[in-house]
Amino acid sequence: MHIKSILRTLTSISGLGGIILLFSMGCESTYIRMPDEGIFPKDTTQTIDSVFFSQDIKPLLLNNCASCHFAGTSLDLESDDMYNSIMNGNFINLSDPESSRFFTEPDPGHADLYLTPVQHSLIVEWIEQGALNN
Amino acid sequence: MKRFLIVSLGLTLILASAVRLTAQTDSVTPPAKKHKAVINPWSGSLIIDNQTTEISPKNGLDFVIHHRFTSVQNGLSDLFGFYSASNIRMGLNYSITNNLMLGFGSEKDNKSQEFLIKYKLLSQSRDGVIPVSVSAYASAVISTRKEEFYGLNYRFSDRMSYYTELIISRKWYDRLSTQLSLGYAHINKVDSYRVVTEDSLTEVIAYYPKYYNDALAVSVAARFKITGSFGVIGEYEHPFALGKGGRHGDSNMPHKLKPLPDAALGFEINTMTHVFQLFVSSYRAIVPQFNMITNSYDFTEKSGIMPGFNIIVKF
Repeated sequence: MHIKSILRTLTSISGLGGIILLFSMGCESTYIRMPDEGIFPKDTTQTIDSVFFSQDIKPLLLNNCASCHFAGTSLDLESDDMYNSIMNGNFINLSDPESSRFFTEPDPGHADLYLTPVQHSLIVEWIEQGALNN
Repeated sequence: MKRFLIVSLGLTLILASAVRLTAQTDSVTPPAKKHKAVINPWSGSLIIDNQTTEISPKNGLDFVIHHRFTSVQNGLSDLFGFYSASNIRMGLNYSITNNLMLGFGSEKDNKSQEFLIKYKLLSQSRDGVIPVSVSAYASAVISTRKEEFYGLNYRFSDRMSYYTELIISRKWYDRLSTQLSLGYAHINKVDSYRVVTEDSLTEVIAYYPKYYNDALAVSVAARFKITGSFGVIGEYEHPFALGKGGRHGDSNMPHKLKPLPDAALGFEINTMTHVFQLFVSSYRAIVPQFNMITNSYDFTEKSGIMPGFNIIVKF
């Protein structure tokens, strides 16, 4: 009986002591912040390519333009060298795709006579993505 | 938040000294009780989401099981929430004296390990001289989530949250008991919003507090006995968030969420050794500090009506 009461007292004291200890752990008023917090420069090269020259642009040009822009003309859109022909001829404006010489010469709207709006925007998208030979 | 610490410490010291006094009076010849306490003002130490003024008699051990289900909004597809994710707490409460109870419990949501203490300051007397019962209650919770959850500048105290409450109750006659309580809750580190703002050159990722760190709540609860062992129970709790709400000159800073009140209604079956409470409520958490500070369930909508039950086993 005596041991029981000693045990009970010990349990009570340790319980109370534990709770006092917990309450003295301190108070703060804060909120969760994760390690990705901060200011970051925007990475413009990380855009995902969705239009490719070899599979999207090349067939389109071959089908719609090569009958006139054949190999040997100032803008060769027929041979395997058509990419270099476009780039070397300075037909592409990377900063403003719509004003590329590709669309404005010999007169504005010339290309659109042979291209559907969807094909037009596909070429614009390709230029936006850097006009790569991909 | 030093004042909270002081209040909590003060309360705990009062409780501790009260234990000593009780221990002393226990060891001396017990004085004849002048005013006998009313019988069973409450069936157990809790009513739905609240503590009552009651504690078990000296050396009494209570095993408490709480269960909260998902809301009734999905109807029969998850049997009104019973088959969906639930929140569970299991705990043990031990009465050191007739007036003092210590307890421990573990809750699933937030992985809360709760240490609690309740002291009965006054017992309503049968002769009406003491008109009410008064109890003080305090709990400290350690959340045992992974350290990564707490993000930058982790300290152990980030896991802590506290609750203190003063409860006043009265048994009006055999059938009706009511209580009024005033509680204060504090969470050391609350959850946050992740806000991403972009301009042409930079991307800014910032975190802002989603909840207040402190809240005060007033709650009322009642039990109406229909037969000796069957009663209807209900409660309403209104939390008031304390502190600044956000947007201190920072236009990106979203407002903190204000906690929504809880309304609950159910019934209680009470035997010599068990208390069963089955109810619907709009509190999802079980430890009061998380309910009072973070509750976003609105009891006026179907998504805020959640079934739940409590079982108290008395040894």
